[in-house]
Amino acid sequence: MLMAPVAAPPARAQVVDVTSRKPDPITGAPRVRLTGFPANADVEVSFIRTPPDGLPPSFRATARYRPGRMDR
Amino acid sequence: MSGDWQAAAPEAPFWSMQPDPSAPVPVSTVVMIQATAQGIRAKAEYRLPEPAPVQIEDVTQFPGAFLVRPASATGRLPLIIVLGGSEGDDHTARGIGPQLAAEGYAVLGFPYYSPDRGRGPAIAGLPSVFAEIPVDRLEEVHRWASTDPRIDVNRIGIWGQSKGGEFAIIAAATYPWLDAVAAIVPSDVVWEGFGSGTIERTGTPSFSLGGKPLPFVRYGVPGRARDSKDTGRAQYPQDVAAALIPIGRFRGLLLVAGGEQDRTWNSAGMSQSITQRRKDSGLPTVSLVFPDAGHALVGGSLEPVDVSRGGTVEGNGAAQKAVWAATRELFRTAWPARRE
Repeated sequence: MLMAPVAAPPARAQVVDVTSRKPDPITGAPRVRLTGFPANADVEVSFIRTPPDGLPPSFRATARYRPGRMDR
Repeated sequence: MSGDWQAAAPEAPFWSMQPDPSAPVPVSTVVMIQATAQGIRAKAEYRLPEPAPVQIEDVTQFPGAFLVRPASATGRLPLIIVLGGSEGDDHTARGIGPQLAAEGYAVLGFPYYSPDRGRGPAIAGLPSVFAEIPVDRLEEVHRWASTDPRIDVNRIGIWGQSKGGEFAIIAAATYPWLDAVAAIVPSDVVWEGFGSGTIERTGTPSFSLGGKPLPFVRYGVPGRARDSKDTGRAQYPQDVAAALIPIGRFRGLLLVAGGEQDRTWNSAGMSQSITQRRKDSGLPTVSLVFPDAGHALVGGSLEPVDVSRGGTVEGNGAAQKAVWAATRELFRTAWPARRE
């Protein structure tokens, strides 16, 4: 009898700010690690903020990565 | 990898941002980071670094001027005079002043030109036409600095950009009391003046010294874009020879930075000219020339870049970071040990 394979539970996807470990020395920009996303998948990452006066429209930058661990 | 940024730099997602009215609106001090793949979504929030606390006060001796110091400062600090560009007023100084002061300096925002945008100059007492700006006003600043117990008058530098970079280079060639000068997208010559609105050219120089107009280069084709300067330079080589600023006289530390895609003027070529003339005098220069950058090389590295005056998003972003790092290093080298 064939048993249906049991899928491992997916890892919990996370966006982790690792700034405290490796901050950029000049700009203080965060270093971000994405974990738990499916291997070989395109991951779309967006950074979104409002302008300094806090009013819309927001600003956004988006990029797509593949796959695995991504440090930026 | 593809998208708005490709550089492997942590600040790249910040300077590559573009306005997006459809994006959610986080509070202004937080950056929302969203990641999505195959229906899986995760997000985090990054709180932007708090600006270092500074104290800012008006300096009433000079129209529109203000002094910025670290909030915790005591004793005498080196002074950096900030000279903005043709945008006039105090816009540039309000931005860079606190950033420089946070490094441990007193910073004088020193507006010297206030364009008339239809309601007269925003800063009363300043010229609204960029013509024959007296470089000598810096001597008044020097005298004022010598009377302020919070400033070390033996340690003075200048930070200037664009027309302020031209001003800074003239000052460096003139005043031996300057230790260090950062001239961002500067000029190697004195250019013709111009005015607000329709005054495209004045027929007089941008700067004067000792009450006399300085030799200047006339503009060529009409307009204010780069080609008006490039053609002026080509058409009037005798002007260029007379208007070259004698930067080989300056014995202090000098930083210049330019972008090869600068649409305002040839800041890369003029930076290289300054560097060569210093070299001819046996003097070093920190010279940064960026092939993919334009005119906007100054700004917080986590702010979206301005490509309206040339350069690519990534070129300008990388240049902003490099220029800021070199600026910090310049003043740290000039005044290494005695910061109080």
